[in-house]
Amino acid sequence: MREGDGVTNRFQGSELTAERGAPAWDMAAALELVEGDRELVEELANLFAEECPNALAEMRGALEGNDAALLERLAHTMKGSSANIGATGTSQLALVLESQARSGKLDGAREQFALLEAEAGRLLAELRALSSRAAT
Amino acid sequence: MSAGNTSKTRILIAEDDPVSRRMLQAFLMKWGFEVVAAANGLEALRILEESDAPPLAILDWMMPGMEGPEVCRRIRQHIGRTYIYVLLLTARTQKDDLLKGLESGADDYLTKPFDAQELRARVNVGLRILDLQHSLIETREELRFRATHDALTGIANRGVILEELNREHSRRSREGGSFGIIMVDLDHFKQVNDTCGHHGGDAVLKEASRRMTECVRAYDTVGRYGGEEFLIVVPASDEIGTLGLAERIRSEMEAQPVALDTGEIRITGSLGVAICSDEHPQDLQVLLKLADEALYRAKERGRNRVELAVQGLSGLSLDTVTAPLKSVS
Repeated sequence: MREGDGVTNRFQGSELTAERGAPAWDMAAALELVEGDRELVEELANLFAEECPNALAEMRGALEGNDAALLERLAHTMKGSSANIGATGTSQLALVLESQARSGKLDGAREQFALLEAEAGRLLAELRALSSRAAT
Repeated sequence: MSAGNTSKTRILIAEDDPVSRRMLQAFLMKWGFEVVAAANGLEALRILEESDAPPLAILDWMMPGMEGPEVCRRIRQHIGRTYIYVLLLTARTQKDDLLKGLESGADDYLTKPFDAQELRARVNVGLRILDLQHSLIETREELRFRATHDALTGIANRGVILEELNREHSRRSREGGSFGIIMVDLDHFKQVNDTCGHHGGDAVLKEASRRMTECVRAYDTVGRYGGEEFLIVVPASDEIGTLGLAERIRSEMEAQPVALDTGEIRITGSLGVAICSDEHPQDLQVLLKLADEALYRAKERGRNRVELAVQGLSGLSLDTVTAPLKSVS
């Protein structure tokens, strides 16, 4: 759980995978990032939910086209995007994918992308649940 | 022009991720900025190259179209424009990368994920730099005005009026045609100073300048040539035109007395006119000398008078020319 020390880079490049069972999304962490602005968190979550499927599709395309540079940029964006809504698991997976793409070695990238896609799927489900709760 | 703090400082954010962009925008708006958002490097560059670009910019490093550092490099190439304070947002924490960022022209960098308060503090540093720039520009413009204008009357100073004369003279040499100069000297000015003091003398000089400025066209220049001497450059004008203007000035000067603390005082001027034309393409020194001689003649012939320089053997009778003009006012 982030303590609010935003200066240090949280991600040290470790090959962490998301813990099974842990929520893909940490609302408390998200709120802390925006200094408690609940409406903003919801807005950001909605934006992410809209963008995520496109982003994943583009990444798939980059992998299929063996475009390491594009994949690196997309993974980098996903890393930042998910971090901004407190989805640490997704963010860490994206970080690993970004490093792999940067090194130019796309062998492990396919597996890593599969992991990322699965985690992102969980995340999107949780976000959808939140917005349907909010609607009631 | 701006009344206190009613206008918000504009800031550009360039970030391709919609979530990060929205987050930045929300923070900056909360802190009182007017946010301009770009989704890629090319859009950011386009906005920053406009004449009314925001003075502050937060650029993400990795963006489609053009990366943050490259946008930085491009805008730094525009010399002589208002400075744009740039913060580079980067996830790259390797020292080499950071140095590269600064060398590309960024003023500061912030690592991602960023801490809101740190971002705010660094943006405020940018505001401090912009304030400094603003006051430097203001001072520079004030100094520029003072260097080119007469402190008392606000009209062009001697250096500037001579420059203007030089410019007009060169132009006429290239393009042909004619222009005139009018040398004006206030009558009995020493007496004004003696009776009304220098304060009164200053008031008379200011009022005389004002009256002369009222009479001339938009592209004529009135300048302070000496203590109580003025030089007027009248482009695209021949004898008749310049004499007509000189007579209007003479008339305007004497028309109303000047109100001083010590009472009212009547002012008049003597004016010497000289023309530079295709027929008489005088060089500058000769032209000034001719106007000066005409001015001297005006004094000799009773003051409150316009005289035209004698040029060549045109046989022009000066009184014949000036008399009819006196009746037209």
